[in-house]
Amino acid sequence: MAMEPLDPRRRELARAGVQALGKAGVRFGDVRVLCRERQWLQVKGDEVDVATQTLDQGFAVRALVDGAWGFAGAPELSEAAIARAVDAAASIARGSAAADGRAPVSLAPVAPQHGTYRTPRVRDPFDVPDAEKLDLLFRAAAALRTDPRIKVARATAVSLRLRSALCNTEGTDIEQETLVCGGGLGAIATADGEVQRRTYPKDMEGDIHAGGWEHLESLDLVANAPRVADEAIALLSAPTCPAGTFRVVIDGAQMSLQIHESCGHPTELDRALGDEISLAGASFLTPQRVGLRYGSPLVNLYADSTTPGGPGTFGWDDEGTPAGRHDLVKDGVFVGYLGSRETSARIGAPTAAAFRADSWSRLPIVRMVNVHLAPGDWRFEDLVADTDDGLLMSVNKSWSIDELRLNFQFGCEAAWEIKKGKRGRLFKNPVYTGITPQFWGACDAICGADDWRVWGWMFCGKGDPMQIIHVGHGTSPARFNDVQVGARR
Amino acid sequence: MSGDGGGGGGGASAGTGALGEARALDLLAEATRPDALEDPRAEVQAVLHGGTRTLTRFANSTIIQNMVVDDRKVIVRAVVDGRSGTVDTTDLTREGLARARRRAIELATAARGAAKHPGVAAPAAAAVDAAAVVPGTVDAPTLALTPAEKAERLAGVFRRADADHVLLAGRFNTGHLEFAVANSRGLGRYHDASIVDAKAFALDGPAGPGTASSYAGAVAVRAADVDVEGIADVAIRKCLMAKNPQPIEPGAHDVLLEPEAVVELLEWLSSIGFTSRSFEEETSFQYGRIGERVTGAAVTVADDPACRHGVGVPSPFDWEGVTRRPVTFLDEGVARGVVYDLRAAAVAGCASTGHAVGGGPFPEGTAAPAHVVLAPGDATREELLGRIERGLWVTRFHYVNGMLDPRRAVMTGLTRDGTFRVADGRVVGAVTNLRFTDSVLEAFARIGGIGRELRAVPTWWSELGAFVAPPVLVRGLVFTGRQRE
Repeated sequence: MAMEPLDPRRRELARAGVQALGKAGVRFGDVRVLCRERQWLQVKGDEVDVATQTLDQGFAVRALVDGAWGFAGAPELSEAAIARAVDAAASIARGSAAADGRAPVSLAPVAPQHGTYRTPRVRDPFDVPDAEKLDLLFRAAAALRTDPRIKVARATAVSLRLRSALCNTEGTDIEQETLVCGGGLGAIATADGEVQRRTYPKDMEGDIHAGGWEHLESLDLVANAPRVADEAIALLSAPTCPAGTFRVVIDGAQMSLQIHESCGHPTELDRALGDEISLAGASFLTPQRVGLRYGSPLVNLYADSTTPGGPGTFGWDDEGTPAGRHDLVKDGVFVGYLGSRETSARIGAPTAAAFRADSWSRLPIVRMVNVHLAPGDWRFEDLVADTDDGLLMSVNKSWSIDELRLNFQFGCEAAWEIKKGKRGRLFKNPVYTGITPQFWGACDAICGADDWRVWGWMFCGKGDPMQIIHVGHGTSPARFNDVQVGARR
Repeated sequence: MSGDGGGGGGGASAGTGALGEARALDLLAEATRPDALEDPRAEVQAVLHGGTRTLTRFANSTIIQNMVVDDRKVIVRAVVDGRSGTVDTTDLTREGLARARRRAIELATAARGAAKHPGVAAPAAAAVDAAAVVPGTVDAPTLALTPAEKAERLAGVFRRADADHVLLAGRFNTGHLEFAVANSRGLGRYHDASIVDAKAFALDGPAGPGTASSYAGAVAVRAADVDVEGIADVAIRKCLMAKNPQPIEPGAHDVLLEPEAVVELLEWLSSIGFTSRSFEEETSFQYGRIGERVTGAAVTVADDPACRHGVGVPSPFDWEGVTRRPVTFLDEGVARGVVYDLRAAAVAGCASTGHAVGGGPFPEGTAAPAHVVLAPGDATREELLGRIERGLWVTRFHYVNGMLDPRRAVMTGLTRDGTFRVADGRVVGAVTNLRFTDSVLEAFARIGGIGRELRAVPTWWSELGAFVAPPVLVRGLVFTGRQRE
């Protein structure tokens, strides 16, 4: 259920902050007021494992003075507190500029924005009674407990609502309410020293979409639970996935992380420019490499913050750039970045509405929104039937990629052999590894729109200090040739 | 900046917005007053966590973020008939905290099923062995450091880097952190500390393939103990060493791991093997093996809240107000156990070890180590290098993941920010980054020596703890790939 109403004066406060910025003489500034509510419910076995709710509200002021940024924020929603923050931000900016005026900041132009945005939803999850949510989770967890070897039966529901106002000194004056909801289930099976797990739709948060409680209901956790449990049990006695070079079909859940790590992050322009060295690293996709081949001609990757249901869908990003679609890889060629007004100006490119913060207390940084792999024209059944000797990889279990996003290794929950066009034996502990452009260059088939869907991720970490944000990846299963399977050479 | 009216202006610093012990405990006591609880069955605890931070981040030898933020929040947990609900809020007004409490009680009441939570901590859990706990330290000069002053110091550092034709990236953060717990049984505890956290990366050109990079950093409670210029000099020197890396074939290599690299492995060992949840769910490599040798006899790992070696910001009690107790996980390679909070201890039939966690971005539900220490050996770094005939010096790992096979602690990850070839005990040149994939328990059974110098490395998920490790020589760490285009 929702908590009692929050302070509704977000827009008025943001406007008051902009007036204060004007008086402070900043060249550019903005004020963002944010209320963030998150609920996490999780049932494990016969117990409510997690029942938490967040009510986080505050404001952030950015001030650009003499070519340098200053930033201040606080949780107190009052005009007086915002006025103090404006002074602090302007003062910090002046101090930074005086001490270190090496690279004056400029911003790519964005016309002043006005209006409101609200995520379409059928049923706001914060209006769904706790008892109803927990009942669904208990039923799903019970449906997982088909065998005494199922040690952990877990069902999760998560909801996130962000209500924000943003005003800037250029005249932007917007307000939005975005909402994501989802969940999933997971089983851990143990026997004779072996531990295996299987999840649905994937691990961690399960799957989140922009929208309401209807998304979690559409996942039909209860009906999927017995299959998930059966596969976890089957993995206990499954042989280890063979090592070698294979033709590999990757399911949608795992593809979503493959896109996230090997395309989404390396096309973040702040990484490419070296701004994220202090935690996440850089990118092999430096600005000089725009126009170079990234993958096979089948590969089209794009950012789209307008995708219906996409967790990275909004009206505007956190500096007021309107949502839109931007190509990242076109016909296999690297063509563009996720960016902000500042980073885009540094390379003379249009901004791509990808500047986001996970809280009022953090500066926005370049983040993924929805980064998709465009569908191809294969039907999944035909793709398997067309594979004479290969493996089908399913759902991520382990993830690792180097700081330039070149060398990756992913472990999956399960793999099936594909022999003469048919799915065969189940294998445990599959791992595949590759080098990003070589891997995508070996993509020879992508399934079509019927198999394409958006996968939502709640916990994309980036920044220093770390920020955690929700993103989406639309994809269908795809096939790759000559993939190294197994970790050891 | 402060929610209570402090701060602002050019002097904005980390020292402007603290609540202080009396006010913090009054606030929490008010929120947990037994006579205010909406349900007489409820027990309630409230945790204040956060502070004022000045965060200065730089890249390409210029400041890219400079900010001051006050982000204290209160996390209210209610326990009703053995079931709990938790609400966190940044609204620290009386009304805001009452709203959070009411909602926490609603969540706890809505919960059904097994009732395993024993309730909030008794005041006796706050008993402190004063000799065993590092006191909080609040250093006034650290708190007085303003963003403008930090910018001035960094500008000098950037000029030093210019002279060597390298670019610097990193952060120079200071803060005043407050941590307090109170509950409806009368427990009340407060801890605060100043913190300074600096790290520098040096690059011999714009970030990207072919660019050499290096790292140096430090964390402390006093700015005077963090030599920003010295850190930058170390990074610059390592960067110059890391130039022109040569390709190297994967395979089994003897490696000298710097403390930062060791800590990456300890963080994952902690996550998959030392938490109460990993034991309860039978995924820990210690499960069913307590008292057995699971790794090399050279390995002793403990959570030591009283470790006085360079720990960043120790907290003497956990998120339930329970005094932290030292816990040994691996004693000369023998499995000894995990950490517990109140709920996990009740399920396991033991006492809490004082390792409840909270406040992070991920939903909790487990007890976790906070101040992990790998016991030092007796070798100098030079002696460890001298034991390598052909091998590698690894300064850092990147993106380690321990989910491949937690029962064996199989992990994978890459080297980063300077990987060097060692021949006949001497560093002879840089090599390209490599990916290792190996069982860390098996690798730690092949230890060829442990250094005597401990170093504290802050954990990325918490400002209230650091892991402490010496350099470690591992024989035959298995590398399975390399960074290339």
